[in-house]
Formats: sequence, C-alpha cells, structure tokens
Amino acid sequence: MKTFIIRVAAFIGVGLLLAGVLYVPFYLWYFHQRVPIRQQQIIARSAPSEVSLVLGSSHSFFAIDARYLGADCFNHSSPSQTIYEDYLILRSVASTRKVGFIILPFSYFSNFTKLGKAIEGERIRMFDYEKACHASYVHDRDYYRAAWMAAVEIAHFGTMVDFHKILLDERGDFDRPCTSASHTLADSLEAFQRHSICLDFSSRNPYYDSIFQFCAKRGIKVNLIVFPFATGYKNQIQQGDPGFERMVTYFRELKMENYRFLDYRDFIKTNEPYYFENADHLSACSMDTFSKVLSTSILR
Amino acid sequence: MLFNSWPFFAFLPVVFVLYWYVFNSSLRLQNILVLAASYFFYAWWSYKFLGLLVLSTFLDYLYGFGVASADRRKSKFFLWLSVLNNLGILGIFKYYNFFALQVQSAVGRLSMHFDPVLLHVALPIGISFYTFHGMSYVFDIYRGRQKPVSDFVDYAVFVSFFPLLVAGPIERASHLLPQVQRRRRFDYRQAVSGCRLILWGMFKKVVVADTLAQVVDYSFKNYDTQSGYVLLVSAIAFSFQIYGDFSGYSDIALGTAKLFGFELLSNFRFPYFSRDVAEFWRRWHISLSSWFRDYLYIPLGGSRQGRAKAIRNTFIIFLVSGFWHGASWNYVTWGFIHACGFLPLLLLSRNRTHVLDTVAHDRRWPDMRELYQMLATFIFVTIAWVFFRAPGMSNALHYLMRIFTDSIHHPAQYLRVPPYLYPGVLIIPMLAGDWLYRRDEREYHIPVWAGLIIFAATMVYFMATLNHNVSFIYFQF
Repeated sequence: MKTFIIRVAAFIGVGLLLAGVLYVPFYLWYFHQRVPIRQQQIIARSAPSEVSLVLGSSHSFFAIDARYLGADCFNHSSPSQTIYEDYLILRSVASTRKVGFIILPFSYFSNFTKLGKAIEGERIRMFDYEKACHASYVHDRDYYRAAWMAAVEIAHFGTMVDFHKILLDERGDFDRPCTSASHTLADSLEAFQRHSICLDFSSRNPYYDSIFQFCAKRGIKVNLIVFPFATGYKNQIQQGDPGFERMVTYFRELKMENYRFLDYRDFIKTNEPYYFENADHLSACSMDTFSKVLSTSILR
Repeated sequence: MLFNSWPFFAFLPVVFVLYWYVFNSSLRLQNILVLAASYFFYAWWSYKFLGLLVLSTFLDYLYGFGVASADRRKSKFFLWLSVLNNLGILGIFKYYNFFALQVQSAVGRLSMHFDPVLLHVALPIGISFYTFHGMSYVFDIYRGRQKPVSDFVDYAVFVSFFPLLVAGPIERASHLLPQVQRRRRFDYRQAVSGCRLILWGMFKKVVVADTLAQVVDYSFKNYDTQSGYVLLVSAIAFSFQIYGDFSGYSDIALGTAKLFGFELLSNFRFPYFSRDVAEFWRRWHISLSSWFRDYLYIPLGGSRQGRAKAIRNTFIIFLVSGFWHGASWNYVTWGFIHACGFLPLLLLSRNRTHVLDTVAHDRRWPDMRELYQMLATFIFVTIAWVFFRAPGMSNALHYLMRIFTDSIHHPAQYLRVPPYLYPGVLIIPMLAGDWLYRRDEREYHIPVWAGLIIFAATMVYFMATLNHNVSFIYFQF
C-alpha cells in the first residue's frame, strides 16, 4: 500500500513537472496562431453563427467590456497586441463565423515605428511590421506574453471561464468600486516623453489596409475608435505633438465610421485620476461608462 | 461531482486513504464509508434528488424479500411491484412530458384541445442507471441467481457505488453484490491497473472528446449554414466524441472501482473495430445491451421461437434501447436504424460470426476484407449517430442531406481546418492505444514514460483549455 501511494505520488509529481514544461510550448503554439486558445474556445462553445469583435491592444483590453455590445460580441484584444495580430485574429474568426462588426482602435501604439531610440525601445520588436509579416517569426514578446498569461492562468486555474475577465480580475479592479487613484500628472508627462518621439505617421501601418480590405470584401462594418487619454497627457499631445495632427488627418482620409473619444468630457472626467489606470489606459470604473457610451454610439 | 473536476481529484484520494487506512478494520465499516461517500458524491450534484435515490433503493430492498418468497404468486406480485415502481419513477421524471405532448399532438389532429400539465423538473442524474440496478436485483432474486440481502448498507452500496452511480456500467446484482459482501484486500496490481484505466479514461474525455465537442456542437447547431464537408467531418467527429466521452467515463469508473477492490463489468471493447453491427453491439455499452438481452430479449423468447419472433424481439430490444436513452423520437429512430442494420445478419444467420475473436487476432494489421468491414460498420454507425445527436428528427434528416452538397467534391476545402481543431488529431493516439490492446481490454499495459506523457498532456489540456468540468454525454440519460 505504501509503495503504491509513494509511486503514484511520484508519478503525479513528475507528470505535473512534465505538464509544466509542456505548458509553455503548448501556449506558444497557440500564440503562434495569434489567437489565445481560451478565446477561440469561448467563441467555439458559445457557437453563435454571427459574432462581433473588439480588437486592439491594452487600450481596448482595459476599456471595453464587450458584454455591453451584445451577447455575441467578444473582446479579442490583449495587451501589446499588434495590428498584424488583429488582422490574423479577424481572419481566423471569420473563417468559421460571420463577423458582424469589429471595433478597431486607432492608437499611438498602432503606429510606433521609431521605438528604437525611445525609453520603451524594447517594444520595437512588437511593432516591427516587416518581421511580423513572417508567420514563422516568434517574437521575444511572444514568450513574454505566453509566460505572463500562463502565470495568470496558473494562478486561477480551475475557476476561470473568460480570458478577458480573468485578466481584468488579475488587475484587481474589474468589479470593484473606483476608489484608488493611480494616475498623476507626473505620470502623464512621463508617458508623453516616452511615447511622443516615437510617432511617425509617414510610415503607415500596412495592416490597417489589410483589415479594411478584408472587411470590405466580407461586408464587415469597421468602427474605428480613439480612446480617451488623461487630461495632462492629452494636453501634451495636442499641444506639442505633430503626430497628433497627422493622425487626425489620416482619420479624415479614411472616410470611415470613426469615434474619436479623445475629446470627450461628458462621460469620462478626464481630470479625475481614478478614471485612469495610468496616462492612457482607462480604469475599470470608466470601462463600464465608456463601454455603455461606445455601445450607444455604435448601435445608434 | 464530475470525474473531470477538481473536487473529484480531492475527493478520490481522501476516500481512498480513509477506506484503506481508517475504515479497514471491518468490512461493514468500509461499506458504510463507501455508501456515505457515494451519497456525498451524488449530493454534490443535487442533494434534493438524493432522497429519491434513497427511497428507490429502500423500496427495491424491501421488494427483494417479497420476491424471494416461496409462494410463486406472491413472488411474482412483488416482482411486478418493483418493475412498476422503477418504471414509474423513470416514467414520471423522464417520459411523462414526452407522452403528454404526444397525446396533446394526437388530440390536436382530431381538432380537439388538450392542455397537459407538464413537469418542470430536471431529470435526476443517473436515474436510468440506478433504477436498472434495482430491477436487476429483483430479477436475479426471482430467477434464483441471487438471495435477498439482509443488510441494507450492502444493498445500497450495490445500487449507489459512486463510480457507477451516474452513468454506469449497469451492474448485475449477481456480479457486484458478492463483491460488496466479501472482505476486500488491497491488491497492488489491481490498484495500478485501476490508475492506468483512470488515466486513459481522462485522456479520452478531456483531450479527445471535449476537443472534438467544439466542432460537433457548432456544426450541429448551425448545420444549415455549413458546407457538406464540414458536416461530414463533424459527424465523424461526433462518433469519436461520444466514444471518447462514454468509454472514457467507463474507464474512469472501472479504474476507480479497482482502487477500492471492486471489479465492475466491462462496458466497451473497442466498438469501432467491429466488423458488423452485431459485433458493434457486443462491444458498445455492453452492460446495457447485455441487460436488455438477459432481462428482455431472452424472456421474450430470444431467437429460439422461430424467425418471425426473433425479428420481432430484435426490433423490440433495439427500440427500447433507443427509448432508454431519452424521451425523443430521435433515439427511437437511432435504435430502429440499428435494428435494420442487424436484421440482414439475423436473417442470414451471421449475427454471431464475430463473437469470440477480435479483428486481426493473430496479426498486427487487419487484412483488406476486415478493413472494408470495419469501415462499412463505422459509416453505418456514424449515420445513425447523427439521429442520436441532432436536436430533432427533421434536423437529423436535413443534416444528412446537407452533407451531399457540392462542397463535398472539393477536397481543397478539407485543408481549411481552424487551428483550434488541430488537437482533433489526438484521436490517432486514442485509436492507436485501443488497437494495441484490442485483445485484452481490461489491461492497458501503458509503459511509465507513455503514462507520463498521457498524464502531462491531459493536465495541460485540463489547465490550458476549457476542457474541464464538462459534463459527460451519458449524464443526461
């Protein structure tokens, strides 16, 4: 009996270690598809024949609760997700489902091209269009993201059902009252200094065009949005950044449905710190408000 | 409580340790522990229906004494009382709404109005299984194969033993009760064999069945917008899903029982390696088909009272078997299709061609004839599964018709498989494992290294996907 228990315990111990080792390549394999497995499965399980998608990076991830946009709307954004990945996700989902509309953020992150010289220079790998074109190319960032999400999942396994919600839970403020003030003007200034030197709209992200063409072909409605920024950060951008003007021009050229929430003050009090996680990410309490307003705007 | 859930992973070792270390001083104590654990296991799903289980168990326990009476009339009376009691419970909870709606429909055709009172209660889980356990007990007493059990705990353990409580295998009193009443000692080899079965069952359920379920669920729900090839692939996927799901459950049940020193009836013997429908039914859900054979087919005269009666009995057993699965014409049709597949074999007296042998018995690979036979049987069974899986009769027919659209002739489309379906290839190791052990299904001699890989793969799927806490298909029956 003792031998049995010891051997079974040893087997389980070694098996769990092996599972831990297998977990990373398994995740990377799925990340190679650029669509998190859990999100694929949530769509597969819910099985509506028509879905709508929220795409984008951390700005979408932290700002939009897809439930406000309908039961068949799924938030497929994730922190540091590139436009190239948005395109792959859209293509992947559209291969099995009819896609009604997408929400595509238009953020500074989407157009970073000169990060090599900036404080966040390591991010250049995330937004390098040329390298991202090769499907076989695995970024360092993929390992980082895989490790991060694996860590989140391990911390929560057995209880999670919704990838988006879990990651927000991990942030700790998904369903909590907004009481913590995390953003300061100093953050805004610091963020501005980090980001502004990297913007160059002369190098337009080619994957926006890929997405637009794909959607036009499939009859998918594209909703472009610009997220609110905290007051200090926004003022800095508007006053001192030539990139901002270029972005607005670019928007006009596109002649597409767009929602520029950058200037909104009605629903997000941009001078209230607790509405922002940091200079350019909404917090959980404004996520609620913002999602409602977005829903009203889009569904109208 | 589901086998593929964290609560069970905690429950099993706790009960195991208590059983062999704390309650091992007497057989009665061990049985009390098993009964308490079984009721806890059941109540974890719904404590409200625990009372029904206890009541049903107690009534059959009492009827057993009446059936054992030397007075044949009294014995028969209690036998029928037990049958009525068990079928009554099943009838109320499982079939009442179905029959009420059928009557309403029939009355409506006569331009009359009938508004039946419908029951809005969930089907008590495992009801089809524990009522059949109870009937098996009184039948065996009536036939003199079993004596009534004096100790209620022993009998209740037979009915409610947690590994088989909610989805079988459907045990026979003459097989399991002696094991309940006999002193059990820990057997290292039996326990290791049990662990192997649990591991293999988990792999089949978590990795194979629940992965395939994604494409199956979607295709059967949206079949009217899917191309023919997707529907074809999904129908095949369902064949493997239900096999992985149910045989996985049975493997876990058999393995768990072994850990406690019990040997349960085998429920599957690699059915997709069958060479005809008759062989398929000797390999699929064996405990149910043999139950119906022993307690329905043979009492009706079996095949020994002329060809006409044999045909009649065959149809009865298949239709009843279909109806056992659920109150729906789909299941009856599913049974009917199998009866039609069985009929030619019966008429040509070839229904017992493959009774003892296994395919490629003394060879590594099947010959072309066997391969053709297996493929033909698999296709037949897969078509029948569409009726089993589809939500309604018309859905099943449309599903089958839609398979034969133009798209089925464009092989290039077969390559467009969404990434989340890639793990579907895991049916290959499942079938490979089955093929290797097709001659001796009770002993999976999985090497340690292979066991570790299977365990790790199952755990990765368990942790990284939504393939946990997914109910077993047969729980709904």
